[in-house]
Amino acid sequence: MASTDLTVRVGGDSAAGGIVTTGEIFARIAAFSGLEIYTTRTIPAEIKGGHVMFQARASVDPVYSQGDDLDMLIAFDQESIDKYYDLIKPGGFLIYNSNDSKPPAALPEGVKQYGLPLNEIAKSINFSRGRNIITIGAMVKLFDLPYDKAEEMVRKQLGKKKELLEQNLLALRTGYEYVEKNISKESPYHLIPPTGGVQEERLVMSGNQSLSIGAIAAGCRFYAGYPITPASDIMEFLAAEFPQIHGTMIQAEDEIAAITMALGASYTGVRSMTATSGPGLSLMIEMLGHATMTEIPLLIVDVQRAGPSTGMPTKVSQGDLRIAIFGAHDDSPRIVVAPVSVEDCFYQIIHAFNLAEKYQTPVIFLSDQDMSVRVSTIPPFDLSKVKHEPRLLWQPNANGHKADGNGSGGTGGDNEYLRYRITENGISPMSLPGMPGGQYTAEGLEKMESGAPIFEPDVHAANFEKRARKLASSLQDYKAWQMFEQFGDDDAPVAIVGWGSTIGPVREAVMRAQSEGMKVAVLYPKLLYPLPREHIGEFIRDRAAVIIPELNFTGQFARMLQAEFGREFIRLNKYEGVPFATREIYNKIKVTYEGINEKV
Amino acid sequence: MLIDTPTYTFQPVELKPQEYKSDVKPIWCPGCGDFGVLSSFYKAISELHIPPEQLVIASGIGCSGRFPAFCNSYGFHGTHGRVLPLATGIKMAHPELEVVAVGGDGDAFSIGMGHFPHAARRNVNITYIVMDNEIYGLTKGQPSPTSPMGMERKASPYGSVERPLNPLLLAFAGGATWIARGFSSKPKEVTQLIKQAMQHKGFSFLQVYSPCVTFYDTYDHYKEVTKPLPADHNPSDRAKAMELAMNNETLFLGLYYQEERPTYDEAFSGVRQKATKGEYSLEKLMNKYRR
Repeated sequence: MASTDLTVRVGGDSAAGGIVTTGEIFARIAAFSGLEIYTTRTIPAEIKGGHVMFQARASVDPVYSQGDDLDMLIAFDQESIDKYYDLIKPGGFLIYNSNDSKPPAALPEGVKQYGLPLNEIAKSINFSRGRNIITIGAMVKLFDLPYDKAEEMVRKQLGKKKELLEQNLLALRTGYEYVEKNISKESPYHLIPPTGGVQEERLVMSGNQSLSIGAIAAGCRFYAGYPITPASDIMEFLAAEFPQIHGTMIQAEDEIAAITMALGASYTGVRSMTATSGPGLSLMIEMLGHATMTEIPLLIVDVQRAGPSTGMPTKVSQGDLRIAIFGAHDDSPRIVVAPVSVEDCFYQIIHAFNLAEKYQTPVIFLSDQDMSVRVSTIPPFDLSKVKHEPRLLWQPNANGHKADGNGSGGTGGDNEYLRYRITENGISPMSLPGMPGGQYTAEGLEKMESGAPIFEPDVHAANFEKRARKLASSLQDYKAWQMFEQFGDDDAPVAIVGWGSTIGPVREAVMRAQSEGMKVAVLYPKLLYPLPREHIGEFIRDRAAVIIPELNFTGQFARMLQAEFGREFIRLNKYEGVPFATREIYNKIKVTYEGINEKV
Repeated sequence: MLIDTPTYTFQPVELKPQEYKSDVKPIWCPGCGDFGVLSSFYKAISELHIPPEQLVIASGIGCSGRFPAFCNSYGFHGTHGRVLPLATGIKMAHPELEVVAVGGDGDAFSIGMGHFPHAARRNVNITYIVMDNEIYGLTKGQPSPTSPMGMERKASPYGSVERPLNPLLLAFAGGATWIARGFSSKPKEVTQLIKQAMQHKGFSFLQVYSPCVTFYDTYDHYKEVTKPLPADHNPSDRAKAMELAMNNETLFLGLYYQEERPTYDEAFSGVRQKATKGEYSLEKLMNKYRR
């Protein structure tokens, strides 16, 4: 079978170990052999035990989703066979451990099976834990990927313990040779390798790695966090990098401490962040409001996972949109930014930092579990695009330290510095500890321009307006920095408006719909609050139907837009903890299309 | 492309205690113990010649949480119970700043209790002054974690059934490197203790009895039961210091314990030295992921 686009799923019990490693090493071998990859995984929340699934799609062309149907299923246990065999497409095949499990009585039509006696092979080299690597060796041969790349990858990923490495390399070779010997070239199990493999420059990384590098590029030098799946590896990444660039990474005692430390650091002028997931974000809400009130820049990454409560920590969701935008007591505006892909994490987190600094405000960065752990091939970052928006700092005038203030609204002292000065655009020049004459108290109470507490009605009202006014200006940056993705047919009757990582399957579904003559337009704003109302309004105005796909139960974005525009949207909600399949989006487009044609 | 954070250098200043006052007038009840702590504080920083712009006072919520606004320094009036992470963030971002955390017993030992041992064990180089009035004053008189058992208030009309905790022993358990107790009616001693606390390199914990005249007037009680630590007490004797701190009959005032240990920011400097391997660049970092 020849194909330029292959989807492989590996399933097994994590107690056996190495399922994800198997998939990941295979994906990396494919990537380093010149293919584009896109992976997804679900792992149990337990350390040992529980079902694990890893899926890798490898293609000659860029890939935007994990792939719907399988070309190959590698089943390490009976459960994986039973769960997934009917996803194998005609021409695809099932590889299973013939020493441990049985193939299904009837496979889908056109699907072949092959039993590898993994236990026996492992025994023959006296390495019972080597079954994963033997399987990788077998896969490499089946796909005819270059053996030297496979060896290089095994060395890179498993090279820490020298003794074990020798055994693993032997296992790799044994699996490879087993297939070479036992499965003939002409047999239907061989996939002819995608040829003419792309040799574009590529980075092979996950969303959490991309956003961590983005944070460093954005000038972030302080991180405080608390371990939580699936955000912990951001903390671990920065723990290794920050000390090299005079940064500080603190593993705090809880999420409240984490956000508070980051806020304290930012107050002194250092770009600061924390990262968490839903349960942690809940704990941060009070301090988030405090950041709004004290007008201090702060970046909070929320790698969304399936909830509510502990929910499914290792599964994806887009259920935190509402808490990100509205999670506060009283009206406490903050900026919410949502990247759409592994690559985009890098660029958007830089925008997010710049918005935080420019508007002296907390910014929530909404990633998700799927994007965070997924390893993808992406173009190298364009470092020339890295720009830093400075914080508006107080500039003392020639008189020394008594400057800038207009003397009104303070508590006394002519020309005192007014930290919370009411300005036209709402942004007040900020002093930093260490600057003589700029002393003020960052205040959570309602306050005068000087920062001194006051509870007067008119002052309270003026401050609400100030805090809202300054965020509204960020819509200009939305336009200037092109914080959106827009593609498809301008004159399409059917449109899709979405946010976050669902853009991948949407892109592929739209391509498929277009190839069948349908016209579809797509808009993904990456600034979700303040809402780019004008742009979205214009985009949806003449559409007969607008679909909003979301990985949450109620359609949080759809309902927000419904309230904003007073029109109906077609909600496509998936709430299973797994990403959209391309097919699901495509079907919705098709049904919608047929619906509007019937009306005409 | 990489941003480097500037560090400041400061020169000692000659300012009178009153020159550290801000224009904001304290809102405390007349006779509140916090007034005594505040004047001792002005005096201490004046004697230490600290430039106002070098000083950051962080606080949480409560009567004593208003403290920063009364000083002509940088201040941060945070949320309830979070003063220690706040001060930790400030200090770690700019270790050259002088950071003082202030608060009350509710802020420190109830809502903020989870942070206290961590700031202590990290040995963050800050001073933490807890104005302990053994009651919630700002919310009008509920029992706090240091209130005596049997206290009858609106929230405990039949007498509080909870045993008070011992702040000094908590500081020992966490690993604080400077531990002392004062009484707001002894301003000279409190001034000296604040000075020593700020001069100590590491996490300094100062508990100051600071009576609430409105909801729990303990002035007479403290005059009776407090007395200076024995003259021969050696602050490096940890076991003896803990034994003295356990005494509930006589409440000793003064420096219980002091030890030298690398501070949190010194530890980070060590980590940075260990981690630095040649020149750092974004290109290099990115290229690690290149196929």
